Amino acid sequence: MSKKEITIALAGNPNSGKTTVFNNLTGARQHVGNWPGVTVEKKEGFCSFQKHRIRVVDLPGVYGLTAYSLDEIIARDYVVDEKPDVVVDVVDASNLERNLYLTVQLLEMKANLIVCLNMMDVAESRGYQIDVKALSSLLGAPAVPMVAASNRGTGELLETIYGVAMGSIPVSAINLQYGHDVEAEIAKLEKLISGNSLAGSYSPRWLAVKLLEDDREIIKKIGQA
Amino acid sequence: MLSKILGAFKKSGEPMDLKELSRRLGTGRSALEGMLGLLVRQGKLKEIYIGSEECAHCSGRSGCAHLQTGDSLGKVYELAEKPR
Amino acid sequence: MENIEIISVKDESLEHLRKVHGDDAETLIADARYGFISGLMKDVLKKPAVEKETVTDKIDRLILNRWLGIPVFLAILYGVFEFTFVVSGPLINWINAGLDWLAGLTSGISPAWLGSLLSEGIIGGVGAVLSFIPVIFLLYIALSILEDTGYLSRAAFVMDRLMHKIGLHGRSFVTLMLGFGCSVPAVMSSRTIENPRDRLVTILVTPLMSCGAKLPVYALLAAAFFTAYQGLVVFSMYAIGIILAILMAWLFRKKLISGESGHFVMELPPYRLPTVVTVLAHMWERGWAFLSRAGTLIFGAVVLIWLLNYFDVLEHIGRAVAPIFSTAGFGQWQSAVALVFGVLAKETVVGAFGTLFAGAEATGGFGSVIGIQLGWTPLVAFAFMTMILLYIPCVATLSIIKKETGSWKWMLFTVAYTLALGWVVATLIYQIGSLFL
Repeated sequence: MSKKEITIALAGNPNSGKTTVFNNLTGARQHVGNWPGVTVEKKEGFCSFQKHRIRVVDLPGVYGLTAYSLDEIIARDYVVDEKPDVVVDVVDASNLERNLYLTVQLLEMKANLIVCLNMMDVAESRGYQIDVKALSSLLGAPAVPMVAASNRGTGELLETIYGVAMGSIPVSAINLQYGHDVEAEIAKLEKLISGNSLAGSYSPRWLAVKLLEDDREIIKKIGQA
Repeated sequence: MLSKILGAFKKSGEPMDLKELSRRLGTGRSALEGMLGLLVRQGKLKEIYIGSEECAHCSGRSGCAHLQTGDSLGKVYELAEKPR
Repeated sequence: MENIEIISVKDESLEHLRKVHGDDAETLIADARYGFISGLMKDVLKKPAVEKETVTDKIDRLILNRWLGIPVFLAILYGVFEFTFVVSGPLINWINAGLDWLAGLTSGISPAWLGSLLSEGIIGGVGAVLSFIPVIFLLYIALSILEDTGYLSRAAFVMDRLMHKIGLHGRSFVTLMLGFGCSVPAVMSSRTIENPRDRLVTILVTPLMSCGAKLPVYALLAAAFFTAYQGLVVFSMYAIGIILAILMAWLFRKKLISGESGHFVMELPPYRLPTVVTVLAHMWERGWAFLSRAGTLIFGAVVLIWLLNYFDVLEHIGRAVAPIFSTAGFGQWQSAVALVFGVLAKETVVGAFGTLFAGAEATGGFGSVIGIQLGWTPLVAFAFMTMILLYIPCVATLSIIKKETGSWKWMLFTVAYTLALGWVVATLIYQIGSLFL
């Protein structure tokens, strides 16, 4: 890949320190606009690494990727439609279980994911010990520890972003299994979806899961396809 | 687990705080908060705090001293009577 | 068409899964994700053997304790009143001295009616109310501190737990507590109670939670008749209010249709130290309401009283109503007048006394003037205070009750039951007290 510009999306829960990570990456080179057609703020910025320009898009802070809130729809539409080179998921390391719910859904979408374990200092102060390597291997995505508040880890993050974008760091996201009965229904739907025009842009399995979740946006899209 | 949470709401002998609920379900605080949030987004639970939806209609909003304090009066999760 | 087929197969799948697992697929899928995360955590996260108890948790072991929680709440409430009266005492005296001086200045103004209006009506009446500014503001400082530290949410939680034990399941104590400031926003905040029966009952008992406007009345009488025990007496008014609110709520819940009630889980905020700025800001927001009421509503009511008095109509009104209250010891026409006008606004009770007895001197402050002029004993004063606590709420409250319940019926019911309750309790206190004292 010899593109000159790398596009990355920053995702994460509200209060995960995502904004600080964004500021650490882009500094003063950022501008604010709106997501198309809505009054939700969109922040974009730039930085550079190894002679490549990196465009950073800050997604709205969300807890999940359902169709229940506009913020979530914006976040997931961006990942699916714009297909950024890398998605950086900023995770509050002192609140792992809650934050990983979003991470898991991003992996289901087959995003090129880097897990940015922010607030490691808070976790440490609580006496938590996090095995970053184990996390990375169990998720199938690279994990970078960080303390964004003191700008520690930004360099490592940039290297990892570069590595993933260039393909030198693999992301082989796990395939989460939902239980025997649910999987049976997923398989049924997948077969039907493969024949549908949407299957080009979206992973059939992901569409099947969304359908079973009664996701009204996806249902709408399938109806219109 | 999500249905267990709803079950705990229905069966509860008394009001619980999050610490008690997490103890009863054997779930960590972090995961529990995530699940409660999910149930609220699904419309099965209602989230109430001074400043939430109900307050939006209150004519006393502009002068309300309680809105200023944000969440210091606590946040309450209730079973939604009319699920979405 | 393909797409419709997909949707209908999806619906069949959902049906099938619901039958087999009793849940929507969405829940099953979410559970699977959380299950995966939970498994992952075992290999990834090592928590310390004994999870460090946060300061918040440590404090809550006492505050939320099943046995100690309520005594702690009552103790804190009592402490608040002691603090309020100890600190405000000297301030009130200064203000009164200033007002006396002003009254002296204006009483000589001619024409005589103007002089009287200014010195007896306005300065005597409104001034009497304003002299309790220190009490009001100090109480609001204390309330702000309790709220900003996060304690108030615990108080509400502990009280709701108690109410749940006696069969009141709705989450209502937070809304009731707002009544310590003013009943109007308290009634409005009952909208957050989803269950309509719980909501109605909460609205009906809200007026029993002693509001800020009643405080000057308590302060006036407690200072005069119970000087050393002011804090305790005023605290007892609030406590009686809370107890009766819970009692009446229980009674109403039995009398009204009892149905399914709400169950809830509460997320209590962590304790934090409030900043001086925020506490003062909150105190000011609440205190300002008191001041602007004094300047407008009370002002108007006091002028009206002065007018009626000037034209000798007031005494007739008082004498017509007074006999009802003789069973409770305050069957004087002046007391009756104060109570009648107290329906406009509770502070008016002080304003009425202020106007009626303007210019009368007494050691022991203005309150003891009442004792001398009306022949009250401390017992009568206490009975009167409970009457103020319980009887008909002010018109603003009545109007919001009608609005929020959507009917005249409940508003009129409130008028009737509060008047009856006040009369019964005040009478009992006086009659039974007289046997012993």
